[in-house]
Amino acid sequence: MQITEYTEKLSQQAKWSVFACVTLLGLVLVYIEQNLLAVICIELGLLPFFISAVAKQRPDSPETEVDKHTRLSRSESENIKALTAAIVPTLEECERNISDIFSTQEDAISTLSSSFANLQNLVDSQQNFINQLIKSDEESGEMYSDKMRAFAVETEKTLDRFIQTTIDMSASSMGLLEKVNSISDTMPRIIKALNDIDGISSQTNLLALNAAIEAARAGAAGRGFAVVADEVRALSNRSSQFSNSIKSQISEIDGQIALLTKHVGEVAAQDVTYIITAKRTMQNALDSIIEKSESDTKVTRELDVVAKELEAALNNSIRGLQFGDINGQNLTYTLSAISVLREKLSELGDEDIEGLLTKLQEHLQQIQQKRNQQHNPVSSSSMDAGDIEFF
Amino acid sequence: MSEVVMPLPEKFDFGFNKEFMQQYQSGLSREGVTRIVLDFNRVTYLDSSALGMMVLLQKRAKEKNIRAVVRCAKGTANEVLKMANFQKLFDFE
Repeated sequence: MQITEYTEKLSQQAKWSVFACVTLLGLVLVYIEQNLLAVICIELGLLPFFISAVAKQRPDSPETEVDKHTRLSRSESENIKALTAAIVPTLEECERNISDIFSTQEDAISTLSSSFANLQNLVDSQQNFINQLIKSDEESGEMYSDKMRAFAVETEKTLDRFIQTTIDMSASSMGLLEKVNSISDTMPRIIKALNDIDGISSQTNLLALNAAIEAARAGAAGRGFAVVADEVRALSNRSSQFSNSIKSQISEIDGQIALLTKHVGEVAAQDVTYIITAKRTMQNALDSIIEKSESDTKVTRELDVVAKELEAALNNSIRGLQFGDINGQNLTYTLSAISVLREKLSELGDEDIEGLLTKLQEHLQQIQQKRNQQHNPVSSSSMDAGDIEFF
Repeated sequence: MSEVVMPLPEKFDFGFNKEFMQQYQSGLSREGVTRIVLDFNRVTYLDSSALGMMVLLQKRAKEKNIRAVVRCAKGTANEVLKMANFQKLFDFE
């Protein structure tokens, strides 16, 4: 008889053990997942304890095996009390742990949030600095590379204009020289004409001399003719003097023209080889400047893409932080459920199991209602379902 | 179609001025000339006065509908001529 009782007791204890396991599974889930499923597990696991207790205490409950062993009721009730005494501290422990998790999580989330916000600001200001670095003008957003290219084109034009001016000036000087040379070319002809005049005057001089001789031979009758001959000789001498004076002036002009040619040559003849070197050097320098600024622009564009990706990643991270909110609510609900359970279990000694069940069900319904009313993210199974509005 | 060839010295500068002018003046005044050729074969250096002389020659030749030609320009001389945009004024060959 005692063996039967014992086995009966064992089988009851085995059933409870199963339910206790479900409860423990729920608690584990609370730790891991912190969601509705966990709460339901705990509540499902605990419920049969109460149901079986109620079944034993209700006089009008359906007939079961238990009825046949009513004398066992007392010892079972004691067992329940013993179990309750064991569960209550466990539940208290759970409450404390959940509270700890909740506050730790709150701290972590708030630190993470402010860090991410800070990071976002830093990314923004970094982007601004980069833009300042490559844009020459804040307002127009003109790139340095464009400005450099425009400068290169302008410089090349200026250099070309300078070369053109030099050549034009040189060509004008050469034109001037051409004209001066044509004047210079007439000089020999003038000299030749003057030489002709010299010849005439020397011949005239000779003729005057002959006339004077003939006049002297004529004696008194030739006296008047001698005077004329003297005058002709004097004229011939003057003509020769003029010719000499013109010749010296012309040779002076010739000298001046030679000087002019020399000076024009000095002005017009410039070494232009250095311009080629200068042009090449400038071109190379500008090319490398443009190349550098273009690569800067390219790098900045890539940086821009990276910054955008970084911002998107940051936004995702911040959105991901909502789990704090979701978990927080889950933890609060779980905590309140456990709290009610613990309180009511402590009062189990008063044998008001029916009242306990009713209260428990009411509490569950309240939670359910709140959930439905708030349309809260606890029901969300995935992070993506939430939006950023929580932060 | 006849052409006048003007051989240029190694150093084509102002010193060659007088000779150059005489040559092109006589060359351009010849009957039936259609091309005046500047032979750069020997030229290794030319200065701005040489460029001025060439521009003047080109002007005078153009007045008489004669083509001005640069022949065998090479090295620095060729670079100077290209830099001065002379391919717009002369036929290069």
